[in-house]
Formats: sequence, C-alpha cells, structure tokens
Amino acid sequence: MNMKCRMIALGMLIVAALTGLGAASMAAPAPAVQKLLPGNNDVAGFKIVAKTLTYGKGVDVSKVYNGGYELYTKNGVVDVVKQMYQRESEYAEVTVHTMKSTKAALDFVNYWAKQRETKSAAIAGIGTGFSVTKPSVMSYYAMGKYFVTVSAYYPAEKSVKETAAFATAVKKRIKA
Amino acid sequence: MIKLDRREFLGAIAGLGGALFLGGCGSRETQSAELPATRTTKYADNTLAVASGSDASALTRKAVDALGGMDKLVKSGDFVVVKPNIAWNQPPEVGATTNPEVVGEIVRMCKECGAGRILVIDHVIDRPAEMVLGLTGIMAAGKNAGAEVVAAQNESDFSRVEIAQGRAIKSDTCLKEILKADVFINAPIAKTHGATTLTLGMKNLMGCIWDRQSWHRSKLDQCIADYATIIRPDLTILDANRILLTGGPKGPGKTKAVGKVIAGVDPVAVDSYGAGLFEMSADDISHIRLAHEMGVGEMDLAKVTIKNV
Repeated sequence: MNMKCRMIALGMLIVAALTGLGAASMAAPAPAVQKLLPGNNDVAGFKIVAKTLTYGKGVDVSKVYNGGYELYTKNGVVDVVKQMYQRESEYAEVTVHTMKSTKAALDFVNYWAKQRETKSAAIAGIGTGFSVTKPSVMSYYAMGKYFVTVSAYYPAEKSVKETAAFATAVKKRIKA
Repeated sequence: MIKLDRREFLGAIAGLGGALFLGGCGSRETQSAELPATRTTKYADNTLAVASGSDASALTRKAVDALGGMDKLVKSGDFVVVKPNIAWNQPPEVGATTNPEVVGEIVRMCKECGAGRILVIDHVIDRPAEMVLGLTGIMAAGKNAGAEVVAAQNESDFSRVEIAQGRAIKSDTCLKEILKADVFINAPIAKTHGATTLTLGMKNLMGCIWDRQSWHRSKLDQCIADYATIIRPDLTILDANRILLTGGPKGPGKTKAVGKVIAGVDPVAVDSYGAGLFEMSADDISHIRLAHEMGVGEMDLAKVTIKNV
C-alpha cells in the first residue's frame, strides 16, 4: 500500500470514528417493547444470553423472521423484539410483538392455534394462549396488544411450566 | 477465449469488487484473484440425479453417484465448502434446516476423495449460533464426518463481490471461505417461504451474504437471480427427505415425507425440479424464472436429463 492510500485510509478511519462518536452520543432510547422482556432470574436460574437481543420494526421485522416476516406484518405486527435465556444447558427464547390492536393480538394467537391444530384458551394471570410440545415446546399468548411467544429447548416435562413463567414475567412488565 | 475455473472466476469477481470498494488501494480481495488455478469438474450440466427412498444418507450418496461420483468433483487436498441451511433454531424434524444426515454424508464423500479441508458454514440467523448448530444436528453430523462446522457471524467473514449482470443489485458480499474454496457445494432444504413462495437452492445462497435486510427492502426475487449469476455452486444437493409445506422458512408447520435427494450442477434445473415437489411449476417461483431468463440455467425440465435412482 503506497503513502497516498495510507493517508486516504487514515482519513476514512478518522471520519468513521467521529461519526461513530456522534451517533453514540445521540443513541436512541430502547424501544418500549424491549422493556417488556424478562430480566435475569425473572424465571429461576435463567439469565440473558449476551448478544441475542434482536429488534425490528416494519420491514426490519425480517431481522427476526427473515423471509417469513410478511406474515407477521400483514397480521398486524408493528415491531418485535427477541431474546434468548440460558440456565446451564437449557435455553428459552422470548419474542414480544407489539400488535396494531388488542384484536390483532388475539386473532394472531388464534391463527397460530389453527396452524398448530389446537385451540387457544384463557390463561389466568396471563391472557389467552396455548402451548404445543412437538416438535419442540412453544407457547403463544395474547396479552392486550402484545403477542408473545416462548420457545423452550429442553424437555417438555419441565419446560411447559416454565414457558408460562416467562409469559407471566412479561405480563408483569406490561402491567407495570 | 480464456476459461476460468470456479475459484479463479470468483476470485476475480472478489478482486474487482474489492478494488472498487477500496478505491484502488492494494487489498486482500484483489490478491484473492491470484489464487492458484485448480482443475474443473465435471458432471454433465444438463443432468439431474434424483434419489428416492427413506435413508437420507444413502439417498445423498446415490444421487451423487448417479451424477458420476464425488471423485469427479473433489480431488486430493481440496478445500471444500459445504453450505447447508442452518438458519434457524429448530430441530431437524421441523424441516426448516438441512437434514444433518445429508450434510454428514456429503462430508464423508468429500473425505473419501481426499479433501484436505472441509468446512460446513452458514450465516446463521437465530442466536446464539452455537446453539443453532447444535439443535439442528449439523454440528454433530459435520464434525463426526470430519468437517469443521462454523457459523459466520461477523461482517469481516464476508468479501465484496461485483454482480456485472445484476438488475437489482450491482454488488454484494460473499462468504470469504466460499471465494477461497476449490469446491463449493450448496446443500439446501426444500421448503415454503413467506416471501419467495419456496426456498430451494438459489434462495439458500442468501445465506452467503452479510446484509439480508437489503434484499428484503429491494426486489427480493430479482436479488436472488442476480446473485445466482455470480455465485454458482459446483454442485447443488437439495434435501427433500422431509419438506416444510407451511410456516416456512422457520416453521414449525406441516411437513411431508417426500424421501428424495436431488443433485445437479445447474441450480435452475435443481430448483425447477424442487418446485414440482410442492405441486408448483418453476414459472410460479419468480426467482427461478428470472434466473432462467438471465441465463443462469434451464428451468424447462423437458430439456434436462433426469436420472431416477
């Protein structure tokens, strides 16, 4: 690399650094939906896995669902946040969607119930929802204008109950 | 006319992209155009091998053997990159990710041909990537068969490439390891997809790029076709042992045991055959039609020799 190229590269680095500093100082606050995610130990022993937080709004719902995102936006998802939790070798994933309305949240739970060939029901203290255990454990809930899913990647005997505990943790934050 | 083999061709593209990207300063990407030449394959371009049965590993081998065997493609000491679909945190039975038995058998065949290094890699979407590699079964299958299994997670894992024929995109990125490889094998699973109707071989190449969102914001099907004009696998092995009929790309949804593995050099022909498994035609899938129109391959299966085994 010759001297001219080195100078150009140095200049680009300085501009990038200044731009980065400026952006950092004006960092946007976390989206409201992100504050609904459970914290460390909200469910006994489960901690947030670093670098697993994903947020998307509008077309960026694709950050969570890739090509499947249009199903979500067409059904009323405004924005979505997802995070993974770990307790030793057990993992759970919580996804909270802001829906355009309470009805949209309920309709979307019922859509998924139909897809999973089951029915939703009122769940005390949480909202409306259902759980499936095959091929892996996953629970779906409507909580007001939020649509929440919890996936668990450990045996169903233990995890079904705990997906409800994650949902309860979200519900508490919605109420707060 | 000078003919370039796959690595020279991809290296030259990366070099051009890197040169433009970095304003002409000397770059690693430019140097990659100087990679030593390797021999070219070859299977017949216009032939598909379709293996049917119930044992995913055996089907994979049967399909490749019907094309002429892996030793027609992989030589002693080669660096082979295998690109399955490992995007999602789903167990194999969901049908959202490539069957690990297919991946394992591909690695075993390459190993038997004396491959020097075999890398199984994807740009994993779900997190943590290590968990995705584990839950899909691909980490164990790949490693046990003798490959390294890696999730690309950093922008530095990708190089810029130019897409001269591109209509929606004129440049993008590609996994550096693919650009360096002697042999690149694409190993997608056949499944439905919310945005592109189906995802088969060419759509699976979207896992070779860094910024997927840029395609979602653009004309997705055209981007897929554009990219297929420059990133051409030496072999596509389509896993259709169990296909995902609804809820794709991540699932879960309804699955169907089809019991097939399709192998071919022509990515458009492979995808065209794959569309038929969903009772669709290639014409129904925009990116297949667009890739055909751009000369990537043949979507009319009447013009393709199909070896059923």
